[in-house]
Amino acid sequence: MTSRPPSPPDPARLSEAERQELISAYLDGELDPAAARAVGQWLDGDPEALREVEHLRRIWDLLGTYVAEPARPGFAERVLGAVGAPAGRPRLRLVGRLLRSRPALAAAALLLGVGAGLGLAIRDPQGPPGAASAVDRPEPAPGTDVVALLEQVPDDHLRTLLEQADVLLALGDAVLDADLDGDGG
Amino acid sequence: MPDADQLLMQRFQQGDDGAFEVLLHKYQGMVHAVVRRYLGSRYAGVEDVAQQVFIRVYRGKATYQPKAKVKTWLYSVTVNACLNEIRRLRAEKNRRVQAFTAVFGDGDGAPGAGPALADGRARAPSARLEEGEVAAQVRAAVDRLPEQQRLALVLSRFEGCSYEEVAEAMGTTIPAVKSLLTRARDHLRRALGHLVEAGSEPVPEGNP
Repeated sequence: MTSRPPSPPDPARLSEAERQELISAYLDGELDPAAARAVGQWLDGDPEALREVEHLRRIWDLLGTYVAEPARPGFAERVLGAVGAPAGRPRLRLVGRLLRSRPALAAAALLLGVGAGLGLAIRDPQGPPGAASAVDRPEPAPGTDVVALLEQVPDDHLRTLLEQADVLLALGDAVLDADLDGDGG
Repeated sequence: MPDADQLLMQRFQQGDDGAFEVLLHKYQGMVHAVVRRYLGSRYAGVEDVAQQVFIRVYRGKATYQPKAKVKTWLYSVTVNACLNEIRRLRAEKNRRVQAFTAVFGDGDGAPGAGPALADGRARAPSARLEEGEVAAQVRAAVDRLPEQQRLALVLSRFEGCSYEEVAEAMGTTIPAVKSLLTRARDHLRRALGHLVEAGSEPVPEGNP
């Protein structure tokens, strides 16, 4: 919240600049409930102000057409190369360790991984050069060594999986506490 | 209770590069988007600046305060990297102008509007024409916003930051953020108002 005035502002008593700031904060959802209610009541009784607010809101919505391009493939590896950190294996180990602490989540994540692999195989039937087809890969049994299984996933597929499947990271988030507790760190 | 990102940062500070890699994968899109929109749609060095951000994170991990929100800290690092780039480009531009003036004299001044961060690697005009005209006008309007207003807009409108988070990332106050966003709205109303007639639906993409 931007501020918590003792009483809701009265837009009719504000200067033009103050009113514009109030409208801006209202549109951004930054007013406390009492102030937002006061602005809502003011707009209900002032069609011209309501039109102005709607106009601003639509312009704001228009900004949604400004789509920023995503990072180019391999960006993370280039960063890791620049800082001299080994790429790939630490990530595998971390994700594997996180998932291993919860076999059920690991199974779910691996199913997601297989799903993502299948999706990739459909989009890119040949896969990366030298990579085995995701379709041919044996489906893992729950409770098996997650690290070993994850290491079977070609790096390009795993990278895409990590970049696109926020679910996997969310699963990692969910077990991170337990993992850290287990490590004592 | 620290959140998952904070735990990853702690782990990274303890020497686990795998934790850095997870954060890198998680936030690379966010960093690219902020850099792109802040430095301008015609700026061609987005990846270089984004890379600088993560290099700073890697090398400056000790400066992270464990109680800080990782995302907000990353915004600060990104903003600082962008500001450094703006200073570098301005200095470069000044050198070019001085060299040009030394040879050709002080002729027609350079246009003042716009982020002026385009360089030789900028997008070709045809690439812009192929995209929606409305989107092109929106990008141009955002590019033309004064620097501070543009940054506040990027963090608030595009990144969904609260005023408090914007203020923290920009190293300023909440009232200042409020003022910046109000002025940004005013600029955008003047630049884009013709696309959104009062009382009508927004003009669809590609139909100016």
